[in-house]
Amino acid sequence: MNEAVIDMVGLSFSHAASTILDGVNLTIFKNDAICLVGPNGGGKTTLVKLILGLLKPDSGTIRVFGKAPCEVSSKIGYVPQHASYDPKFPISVLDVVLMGRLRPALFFRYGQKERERARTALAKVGLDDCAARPFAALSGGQRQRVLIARALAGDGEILILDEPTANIDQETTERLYELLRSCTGSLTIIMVTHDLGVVSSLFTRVACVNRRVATHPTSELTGKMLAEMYGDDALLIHHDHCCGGGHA
Amino acid sequence: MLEFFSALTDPQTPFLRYALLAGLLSAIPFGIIGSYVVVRRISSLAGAISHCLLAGIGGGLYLQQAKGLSWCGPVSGALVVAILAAAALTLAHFQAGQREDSVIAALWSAGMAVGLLFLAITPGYTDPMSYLFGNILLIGKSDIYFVLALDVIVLGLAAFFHPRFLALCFDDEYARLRGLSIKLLYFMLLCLTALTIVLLVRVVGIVMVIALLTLPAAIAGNFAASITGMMAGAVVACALFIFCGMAASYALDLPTGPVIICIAAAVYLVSSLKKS
Repeated sequence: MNEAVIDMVGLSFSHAASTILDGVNLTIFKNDAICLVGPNGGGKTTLVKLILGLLKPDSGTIRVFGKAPCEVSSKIGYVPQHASYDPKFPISVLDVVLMGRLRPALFFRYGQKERERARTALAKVGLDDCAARPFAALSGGQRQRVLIARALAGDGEILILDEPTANIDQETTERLYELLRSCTGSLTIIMVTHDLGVVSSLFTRVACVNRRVATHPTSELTGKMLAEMYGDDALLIHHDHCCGGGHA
Repeated sequence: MLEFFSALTDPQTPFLRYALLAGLLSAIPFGIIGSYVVVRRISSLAGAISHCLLAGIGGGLYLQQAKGLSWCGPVSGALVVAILAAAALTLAHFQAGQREDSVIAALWSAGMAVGLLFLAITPGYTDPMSYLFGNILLIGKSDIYFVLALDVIVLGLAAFFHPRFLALCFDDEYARLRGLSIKLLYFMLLCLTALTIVLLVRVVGIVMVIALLTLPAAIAGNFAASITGMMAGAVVACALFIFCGMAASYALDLPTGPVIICIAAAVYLVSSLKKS
């Protein structure tokens, strides 16, 4: 198959004496479209933060593009689950997206190229006419799209989205999936989701994360398999899966 | 008001001119750095830094008066302590986790305690009131140059690092992912905050300087759509408060610092009520 862009071997992580991830082996290939599913507290967000280098594993190794994650995090576009920003922050939409193009060079300034890329990214999420508007004046769904544009603006080779549809309406969700569909094949996409209805149509592989990680091609995905992974939550999740819907 | 203008040109009262000039020149870094402080929500850290300064002021006076070190003094002492406090608060933010709050409280009160002890053992009598609540008589001609120099440093660094400071304030996790050194940026922002506070401590005093740093920015933040707009608004508001405060205190024969702060607080209250 393709070259591996992310490689985890025997990865373990614990927090306050509870083991969150235990002996995880997972390889993600170039232009993979993989979604991470699993129960709350199963370690999905932890796995994402390990890939980004925001957390350090207790044992095991993780390589991104063959390097330590914190060295290459700028090659990853990331849409966080819980944005840490202040919603009243006085900043324009364009300035938020431009942050996706920040670089650590001492004499760094946003030039013409940075602004162009940021506008292109805004156009991709359908907000090109909002560039000059204050970020605080947007709706929750629009803000989420701005954060997706920020993740796209960096021209990274990997795009990671942590439950991007948790706080947005149905229409915006559809738009997002449409956008992701257009990116498949040119980007490595990793998405944490509870929306199992979309899994098979968008992603080629599913990683079930519950302390351990097991991957399956989406074509092989069955309700029984998920039920085994989700453990105690099996009934609820199984039910959702059958309905083709997902958690709100 | 007319009396205030004639007093400004009166050769008998040069301190009034110096104080006003120092205040107006300080409004620039106050508006800029104050905006960062408000959006990053580190007002309590700025409070800890300003109270800590008493240790530097006391220490500087002691070394100058008791040990005869002529290059020491309240301003150089305050500068040294300002940078030390910024370093301690940076360490606390990144190492102490949930206990950052306790470190702020400790620094806040221990700084004052050390300062008062130094003032007590310094020969002669130094009235701590001047430093705690401000005294425009403390400002001389040489201070104008000092304020100007700090203006240039603060403005230059803020302009140079603005995109990075903005990212730090808005979403430091993302800034870190972009490869920026968050610890260094945070330390620089606290150093700039500390230097800015040193500028105006003698006009409004250690206890009240924090209001002049945050209130103009908070007022501007109620109306501004961008952080640069907020900074510009804060600079204008800060300069107006200082000018009106000095004029009112002269006309009413009241202490300058408290008058400036009361005006700022009243405008903040009105603007917040109007906003909501």
